[in-house]
Amino acid sequence: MTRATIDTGAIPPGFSDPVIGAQQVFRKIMEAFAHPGRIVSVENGLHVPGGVNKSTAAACLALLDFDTPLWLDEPIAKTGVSRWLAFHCGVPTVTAPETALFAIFNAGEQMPRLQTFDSGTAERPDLSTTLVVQVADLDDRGSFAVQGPGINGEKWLNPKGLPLRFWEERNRLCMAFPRGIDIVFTCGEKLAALPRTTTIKEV
Amino acid sequence: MTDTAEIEIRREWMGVLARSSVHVLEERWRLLDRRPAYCFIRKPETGMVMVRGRMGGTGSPFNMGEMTLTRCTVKTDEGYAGTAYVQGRNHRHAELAAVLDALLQDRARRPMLMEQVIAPARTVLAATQSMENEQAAKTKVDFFTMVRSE
Repeated sequence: MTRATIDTGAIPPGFSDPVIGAQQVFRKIMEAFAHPGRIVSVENGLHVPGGVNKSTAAACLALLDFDTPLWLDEPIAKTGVSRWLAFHCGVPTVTAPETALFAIFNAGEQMPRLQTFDSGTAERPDLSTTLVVQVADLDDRGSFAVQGPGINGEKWLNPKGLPLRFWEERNRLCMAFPRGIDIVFTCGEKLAALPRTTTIKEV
Repeated sequence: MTDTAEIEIRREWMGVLARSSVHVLEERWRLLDRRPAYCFIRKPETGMVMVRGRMGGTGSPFNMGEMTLTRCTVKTDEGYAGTAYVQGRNHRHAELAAVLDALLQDRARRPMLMEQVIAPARTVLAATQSMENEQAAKTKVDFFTMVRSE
């Protein structure tokens, strides 16, 4: 009989108070989704494992559990993140992106095509994959105009380091509303959301 | 902490720590002369687990019922991580059992701890067990069938 052993000594702690920590971060993520284009700051004293930034880690601790299969891109999967999340949230990691409810990857040319993820069904659009995309930089001044529910008029969002095809793929998927894909951009302690209802165009 | 013998020994002391009462552990902990600092990887948290059983130990498994369980994981300043799963809701019990589990993994410290913590705890457990056995034995009823002689 083989036993899977985990070296718990190598796993960093999660929130210092799991309940309060998760609720505070959840509130921030709700705010980000309610106001697309608004950049929220997820400040916390997390000791984050290498490979993910602070806001990604905090969002994962707040949102993931044993019911939410997670897909990681190769550089992130190589780090200890999946073990850290398995320990604190009991989250299973999957290798097939279409079976994942959450996915974490870095922005760049090597990033997966968005069609490989699940965009839900007409009956259950909520079962789509939520993407957590780690971008090189994130500010609300830049080159993309966002419009839609939760935005009074027009706002700006500028996640850096995304290839052009990312926007094409995202917009194509979201045309099939209510099906579509919700995206969270993270950078350091900053976090912004791009729900499927938001239209975004480069200006 | 990978070879089978090591796992067996650890399983043994984790069992003793989990079954011992928190008072015994607290007393033994106070008597230790070197108590290292530690931090929590996972603070004590209470939940439920399903206890499963097999009829006669060989039948197909069934769910016997849920029990309350508290678990905790700590890391000492020396880098050892200890884990405990104890019955009930006593957070201090889970914490102490996890710390002692971490300390026991330090081979230099182990003989001393085995002698000063695990052995006395085991003695208390055995005493409790035999007392319960005696009480149960008093009320035991032996059923037997009278054979009619004709």
